[in-house]
Amino acid sequence: MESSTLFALMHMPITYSALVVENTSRCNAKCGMCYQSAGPKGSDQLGDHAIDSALLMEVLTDAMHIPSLTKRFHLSGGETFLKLEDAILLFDHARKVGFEDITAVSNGYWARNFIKGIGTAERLRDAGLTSMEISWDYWHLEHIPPEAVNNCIEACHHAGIETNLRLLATKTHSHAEALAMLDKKSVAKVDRISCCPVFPTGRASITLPKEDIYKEDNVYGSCHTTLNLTINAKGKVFPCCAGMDQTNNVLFGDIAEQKISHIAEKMNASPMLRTLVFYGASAFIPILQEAGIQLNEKEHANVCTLCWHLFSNKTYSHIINDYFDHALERALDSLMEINS
Amino acid sequence: MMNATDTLKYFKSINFYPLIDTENQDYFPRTADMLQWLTQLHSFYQEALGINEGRNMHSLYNREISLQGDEVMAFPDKLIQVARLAKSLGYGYSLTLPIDRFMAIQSDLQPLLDECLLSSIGIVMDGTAEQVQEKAKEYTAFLEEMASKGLSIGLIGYMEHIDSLNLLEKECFNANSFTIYPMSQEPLGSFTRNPVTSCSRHFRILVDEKGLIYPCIGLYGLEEFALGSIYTKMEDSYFGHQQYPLDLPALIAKGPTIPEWLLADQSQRLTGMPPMCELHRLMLEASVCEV
Ligand code: SF4
Ligand code: SF4
Repeated sequence: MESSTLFALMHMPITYSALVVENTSRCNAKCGMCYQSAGPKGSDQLGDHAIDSALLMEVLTDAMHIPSLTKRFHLSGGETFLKLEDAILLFDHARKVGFEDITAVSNGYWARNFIKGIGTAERLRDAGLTSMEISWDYWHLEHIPPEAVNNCIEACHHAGIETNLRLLATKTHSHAEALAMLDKKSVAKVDRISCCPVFPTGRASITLPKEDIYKEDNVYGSCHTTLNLTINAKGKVFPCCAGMDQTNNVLFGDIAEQKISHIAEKMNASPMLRTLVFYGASAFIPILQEAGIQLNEKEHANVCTLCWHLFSNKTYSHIINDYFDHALERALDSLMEINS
Repeated sequence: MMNATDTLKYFKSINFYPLIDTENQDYFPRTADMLQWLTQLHSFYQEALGINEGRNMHSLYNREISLQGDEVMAFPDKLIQVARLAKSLGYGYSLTLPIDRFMAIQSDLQPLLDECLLSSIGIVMDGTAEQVQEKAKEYTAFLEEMASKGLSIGLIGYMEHIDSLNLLEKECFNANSFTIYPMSQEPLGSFTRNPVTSCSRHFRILVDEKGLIYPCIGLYGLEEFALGSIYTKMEDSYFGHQQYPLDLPALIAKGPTIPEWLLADQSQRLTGMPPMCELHRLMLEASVCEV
């Protein structure tokens, strides 16, 4: 291990760029590439869940005590604006308790009717929303008309909400194809367009052909510079919204049982999580190998898909958790050997 | 309550806008002065935020230095000196230039790439449609090469140009993540309703050619609102509790207070800066004139 990685592993606090809340696993759409596997009946992986807004308001208030959390609140789903009144309540509360940046992600369905869309965008802005991420790509087309996305961009622009159009691509469905479906005048009004390849996690791992997905061929990176403290629709807390938040086999904390500030403290002290975020998910490969499990790293598109793969698997997660549960004993054991 | 020193954690990015001094083959401000000030700033930042005692270590994340302006590549060796220092102090380093400038200095970029000194690049494509068509092949080849380097790329330009180069059909632009910042040919329009947000998203240290430092692009060049200068100690700047005409903690908490009559004004925007910043600057310029 490089000395700089070792230093970070030992001393740096786990740092988050935002508090992300996925307050529902339901979505009006059911897109083929969705990493959350969301749909009208909830998530294919996690089930049908939603978090009570009164509880989330307490969480927002308490989250201000987490020193390594940037004061950005990001609301996500499923499709979070299926619960529009809850979103407005949460934005308003987030602003009151001191979040400086309030953002959300949506498929824009609520702006299908332009006039209604304008009214909704104005209400969201007045409640404190500063920036809207709008998801759009080939797979959304089956469920969301392009006019709704155009209207959503225009409505946000009118209301003074910044927009970030989020595009996803595979080898057969490019960003160009996605953009060509939208109105050029509306696209020119977005503040930015974030272009990314599809990750083979969640529903994408099942419905999209493997060979159609771009691979980075690097599963050795770490992620400590890109984390978001994330609460999934079950109320469980994770260090990111890049895939691990959609897994069932690792528990850092549950907001119904503990304060988010305590959960964040516990996460910062977790040797397993510290290894994951500062060293990378590849650190777990030798642990699994020792337990007789051979993984083919080349099968994974990038570090996050490897991470998602490991923690979606009950056996792998159990072996990794067990290894770290007994790490202290092993360390003491070897120290005693040295001393004797 | 946040004090002046506490606000330092909001100033993670540093943008230099140097001018070139061809006679002396250096920038205004001088490279040596930039380097000295950056070192001083880094020590002050660590001391002021308690990082040396193990507090606020998270404030070391996501800091970045950038040099902006068409001519910043005039002295590549000097640019590399700044980039090396940035890396050694734990800052990212980015360059934003028009595409033609980038292409002209491609060989000068190589050492920056070889030593992994560049964390991101901003490529501006604001020429005419004819210029883009004329150089379509070269532009495409250059952009494809940059996209394959693993750098974080921002493309700033008219969507028509990006479309006309068919960039978003190319494999490297679909296999790698990057961001487009569309420019619009349309007039800017009037001010949006309810434009005021926290200023924290816009705060960064901007250094002008005289070495004066400003807190955001909206106040850049208004010397009355300079936080200090790179030629004086950080202790003698706003961050060392020197008098300052604006209440930065209040601006971080809720943004500027803009009078209703100005918010209701339907006049056209004149700049590409965030609407609240354009309004705030207008107000401040008016008040400075009154003084
Ligand atoms: S590697 Fe795992 S924990 Fe890290 S960002 Fe990716 S999915 Fe999240
Ligand atoms: S509103 Fe004023 S102080 Fe705030 S970022 Fe804009 S110009 Fe700067």
